[in-house]
Amino acid sequence: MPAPRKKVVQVDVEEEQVDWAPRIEEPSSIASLRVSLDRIKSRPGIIGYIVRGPTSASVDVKDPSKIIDYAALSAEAMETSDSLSESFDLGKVCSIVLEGKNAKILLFKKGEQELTVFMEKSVDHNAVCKELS
Amino acid sequence: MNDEIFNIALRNALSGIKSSISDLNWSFILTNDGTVVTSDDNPVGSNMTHAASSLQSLAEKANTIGGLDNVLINGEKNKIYVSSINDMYLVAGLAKNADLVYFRTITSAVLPTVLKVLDSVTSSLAHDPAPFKPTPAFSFPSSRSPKPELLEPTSSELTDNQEQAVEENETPEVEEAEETEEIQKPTLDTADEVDVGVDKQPQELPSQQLIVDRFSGLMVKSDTVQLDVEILKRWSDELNVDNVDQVDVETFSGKTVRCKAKVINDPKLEGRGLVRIPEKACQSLDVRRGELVRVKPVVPEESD
Repeated sequence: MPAPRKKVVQVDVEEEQVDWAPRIEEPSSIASLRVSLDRIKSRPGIIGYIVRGPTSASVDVKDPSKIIDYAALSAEAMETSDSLSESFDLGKVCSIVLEGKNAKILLFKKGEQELTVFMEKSVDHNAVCKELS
Repeated sequence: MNDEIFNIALRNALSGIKSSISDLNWSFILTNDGTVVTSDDNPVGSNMTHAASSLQSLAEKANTIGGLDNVLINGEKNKIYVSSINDMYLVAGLAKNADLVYFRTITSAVLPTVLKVLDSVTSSLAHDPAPFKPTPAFSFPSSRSPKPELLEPTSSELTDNQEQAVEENETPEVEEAEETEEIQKPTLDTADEVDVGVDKQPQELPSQQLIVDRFSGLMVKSDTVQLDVEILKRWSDELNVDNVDQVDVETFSGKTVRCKAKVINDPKLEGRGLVRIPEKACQSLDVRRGELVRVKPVVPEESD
């Protein structure tokens, strides 16, 4: 009697994406970045991430009520670092670590993508940065 | 007046920090009222106002993560470190390979201590309306003779003296001397805790706040601390003696220990504003690495 054929079901995981950003064709490097981000996000202490490209942005944060606040903070931090870098001749900004009383965020650019990872203060942000770079 | 004192003290603290950290290019402090305090030799003066406004708006947005504690911006050439200290922000430009741990250790020890001392000074000035005059670092030899009523007062005596100064309308000279006493020894403790063997010294002796570096080893003598050669040389010049062989190490909790003084024997630790204290002495003083202590030279007794 022939063995029953296994049924393969493919599930497309829908990423949370802000509705105002158009979805575009993603190059493989961006896709692999998303895979890395999803892997990191599942780890304890990681609160979420924001990826901003020239034409799109995606946000994946555990607490959806804070998405706007996190997005505003991320944008402000990136803007401030660019401004300070220009004022004080820091050169190209490699990474930014912003630490608050409750959490910290890691920001850096990878190609045209601006990454922001939100995490608890106990998380080793250097390891996260190394893994995503 | 209080703002002026604050700014001068913070400016001096920044200059001191800069001289002890070679990788620190510049620094300024952004106070909670928007004032920018900087050291005199700051090369980035024109950009500070712009940076201050950027950081203030970032701090507002950072409420999402519980307020802005610190920020590190790593650039290809240099980096900027912003840290929150008592509702103020210290903004520092560091070399790319700067030792951030060392920088944090120093700033987290020095600035809060300066602010704490300033708080106590300004609060006492609020009670005593006599005008503040900066204390001379060292006045020798005319004022070297000790004034018995001012020597080593206990904290309770200090408070009593302050009250008496207000109530009894003493002469300006005495008031000024008491202010000097407060500034030099902000947290004097009871005489019981001071080593019995410690001789009373004139208050005008030079002294310096230094950062504790603990060390240990088989050949380490527990009664010998190590100091920068420049400090020992300066003291010996000021005191007009050949060598400063002994120093009093005083903690801000009031504990004092008299130790022999030697020059720091590790070239890497020279010129960093450190006092290297053996482990046992650290235990008896109850100080840890990175804390601030006041070190005063002991004047050798005249042998004639």
